[in-house]
Amino acid sequence: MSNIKNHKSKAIVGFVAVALMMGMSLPKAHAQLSSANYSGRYACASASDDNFYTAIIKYGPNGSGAYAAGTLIASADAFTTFPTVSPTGDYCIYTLDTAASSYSIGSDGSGFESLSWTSTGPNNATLGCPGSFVDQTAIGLRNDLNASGATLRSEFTSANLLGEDEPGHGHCLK
Amino acid sequence: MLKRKWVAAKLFAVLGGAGLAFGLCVPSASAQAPTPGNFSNANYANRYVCNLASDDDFYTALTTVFPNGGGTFTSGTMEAPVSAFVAFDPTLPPPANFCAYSLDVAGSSYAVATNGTGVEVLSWSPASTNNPSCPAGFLMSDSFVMRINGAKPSGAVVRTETTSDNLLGEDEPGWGPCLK
Repeated sequence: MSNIKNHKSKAIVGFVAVALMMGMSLPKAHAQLSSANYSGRYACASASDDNFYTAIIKYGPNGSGAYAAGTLIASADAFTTFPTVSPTGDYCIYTLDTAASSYSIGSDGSGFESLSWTSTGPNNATLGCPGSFVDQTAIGLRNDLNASGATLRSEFTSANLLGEDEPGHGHCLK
Repeated sequence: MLKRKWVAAKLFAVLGGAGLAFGLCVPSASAQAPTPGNFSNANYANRYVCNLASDDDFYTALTTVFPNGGGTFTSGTMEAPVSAFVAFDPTLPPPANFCAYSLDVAGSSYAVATNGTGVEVLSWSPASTNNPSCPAGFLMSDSFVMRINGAKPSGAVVRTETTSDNLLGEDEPGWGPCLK
């Protein structure tokens, strides 16, 4: 009887050792990402056409494929001579049409955005800024998440910044 | 005496179970955390998102690659705006305004030197749904350097800086970061 117990205890010890080794060496599955990981406020820098067109964006993906709000501010030097209105007024300003904008993120963290920007800046016409436009991006979420599961950074490449039909790219930071 | 051994074995089993669970939850310790002079292929592992551009940033692309820590890749995708090749069409859904490619893993590989620099050759195959103006499949090469700071417990680096040859088959120098 005692011999059996002794063998059992040895078997358990062996099993545990193997289990521990397995636990330490098993490859870990990739985290699954989704639209839920893109939420809250992001500040983005974007450029296209050899960095001739540049813009900053502040927007709020809602974690489920839509946006709560968004603002795009672009340097007007691409369209007029500085300063036209004033040093602080020479910017083209747009507001995100949230009803016409959306995004999707696949499980590998890559996805697409469709962003409909409405011209709303008071000086846009004077500065020769482009009118309202639709931009689209291919976007990838970094797998570095905050406590609520939102990514801290995304990378994107865009197809139509400021409606100029030029490829561009940039990043968004939490 | 035997009873003590039995109790000890049970206690060890409980600890082992906890260890197994812990091992399943924490990142693998199969690769060493990188330090100057001891980088290897194992430090380039799992998923990276790369933001690439070439030709004065005229050609741009977003890639998602999955190096396996052993010199090859498990998969990869690339999306590049069609507007470098044909007019953007705002009436189309986003995937139709990008040239898509998948990584031919059999024709792709990478090698990391002990100093943390590396090279990779990536063979990209076009999606059958691509706009006809998109470039055909192409081979590109990258030289990259790995960051040390912030490496994962598994040893995987969180960022590389890349300079590339032949993005989108355009025979132009390019560059960009890859982020975990």
